[in-house]
Amino acid sequence: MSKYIRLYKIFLKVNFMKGMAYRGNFLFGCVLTLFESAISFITITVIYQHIQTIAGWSYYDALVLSGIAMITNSVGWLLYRGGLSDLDKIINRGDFDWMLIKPVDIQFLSTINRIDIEDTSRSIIGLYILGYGLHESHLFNHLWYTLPLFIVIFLFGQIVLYSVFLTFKTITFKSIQGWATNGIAYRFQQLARYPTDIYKGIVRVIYTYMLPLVFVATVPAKVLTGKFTWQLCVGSLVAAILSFVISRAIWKFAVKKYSSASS
Amino acid sequence: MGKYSTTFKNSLSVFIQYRLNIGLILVSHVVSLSGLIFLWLSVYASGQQLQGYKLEQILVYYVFVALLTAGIGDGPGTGFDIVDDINQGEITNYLLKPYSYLRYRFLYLCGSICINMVFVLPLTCIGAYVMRHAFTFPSAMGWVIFIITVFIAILFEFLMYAIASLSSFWVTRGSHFIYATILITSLFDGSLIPLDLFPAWAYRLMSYLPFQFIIYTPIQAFLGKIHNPIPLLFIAILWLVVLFLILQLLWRKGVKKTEGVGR
Repeated sequence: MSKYIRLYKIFLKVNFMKGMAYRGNFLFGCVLTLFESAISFITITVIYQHIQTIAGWSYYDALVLSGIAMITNSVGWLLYRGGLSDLDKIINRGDFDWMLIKPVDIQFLSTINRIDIEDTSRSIIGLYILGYGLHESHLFNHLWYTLPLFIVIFLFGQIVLYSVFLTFKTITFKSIQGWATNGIAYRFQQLARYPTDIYKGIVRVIYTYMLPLVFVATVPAKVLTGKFTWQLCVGSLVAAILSFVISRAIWKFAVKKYSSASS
Repeated sequence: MGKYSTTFKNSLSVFIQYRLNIGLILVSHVVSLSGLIFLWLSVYASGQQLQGYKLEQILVYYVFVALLTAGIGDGPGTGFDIVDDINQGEITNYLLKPYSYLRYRFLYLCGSICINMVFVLPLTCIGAYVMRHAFTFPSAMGWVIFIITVFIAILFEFLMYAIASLSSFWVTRGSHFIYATILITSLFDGSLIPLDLFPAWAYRLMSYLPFQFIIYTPIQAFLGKIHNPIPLLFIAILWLVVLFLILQLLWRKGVKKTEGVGR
């Protein structure tokens, strides 16, 4: 495990140095991700000028949810989004073959291959609107017991999201030109901005059990806003374990079936 | 003209070759749309209403956001292709030939739009059939205005992203300018929320900007909310001329600056 933590630190450092080589571009990237989060904030504010609640979520609840979705996005880019997004390019260029011969788990290497540090700036707005939402809902007093639970549930959500992304990206092994899977992953993550309480019928079943979107941002937000139940928390744990095990099995199967794409 | 029709045919071949990606992109739009549809169903089910929009109108609005984005929204792809051509020096190959690169890129975009339409139109027809009793379709004049506005939207889509991509002549990562255009456009083109939901002063400002013509104006035409299209068309043509002149100016300056070392 310590080997993988050390490797992650090295990749983080190298990616940071790559970013710093073109400082202007790096700063521009930070501004863009900041702006993207600001757009989400503006959109929510404009919508709530016309309505009171969405599926029982007030404006301030929605800010908490949206803030968590932004932080989720940032953490995702720091841990796995960049690497998985590039997987199709890596396979196309034949670099995947080169990575296969390294004495490191290939899933880990593919995941951390690219780390987009500028995306952390997304969390600045995320943290601000999360704090603002909690403050206006007078929920700061409860943080002493909700925050530790939130951190655990948030990490479970990250595992779920990572597993879903990984599963989508394994399509790349079949289609080679699988860049469109990034679009699906991106839009799936975008859905996390909405409370999953809006879904009914079969779609609710899909987003709870098949693609467990509910655990990405909605359940962590419910923890902070005091709307959670212990069943949801246990569900988060089960969803994280199951989705990781399944995605790992799919990944291993895909790698086993993989034959070189270009080299 | 023959050489440009070959470009168009080549574009069709390329996009048909990677039809799985087109299918995946459509899936991603359906994923995105599912969230928005359930969001607004939930809002209207609780007795709330957006000013000026009945439930079926807001649903049609977001269905058309998805259809237009999936059908004609390949501008960012064109932009990234131009950025790659400039960064990798491929642009030199085009400059040496009796061939307009920008015209080539425009026809390439048109080819991708045609292929997208093959996938999008059947879905549109099914959707229209399902909603035939719930929604009043536009009059003959409404259809004419809608089709004209869609063609105008394609021109704006090309011009905006082509202008953003030419930044690559001067900066290392022109892709950041494409992302900036995507973000600015998403805020001002009505793809997140209908522009008339913004505060009156912001809506007035946006109605003089070119972004509205990509998504908002075609949908308003379809919803029958454009009663006098002449002022809108005037603003659109004015912007098209301005953007075309900017594109030509940037292209000339960029080509003068570029060096085809090693090609």
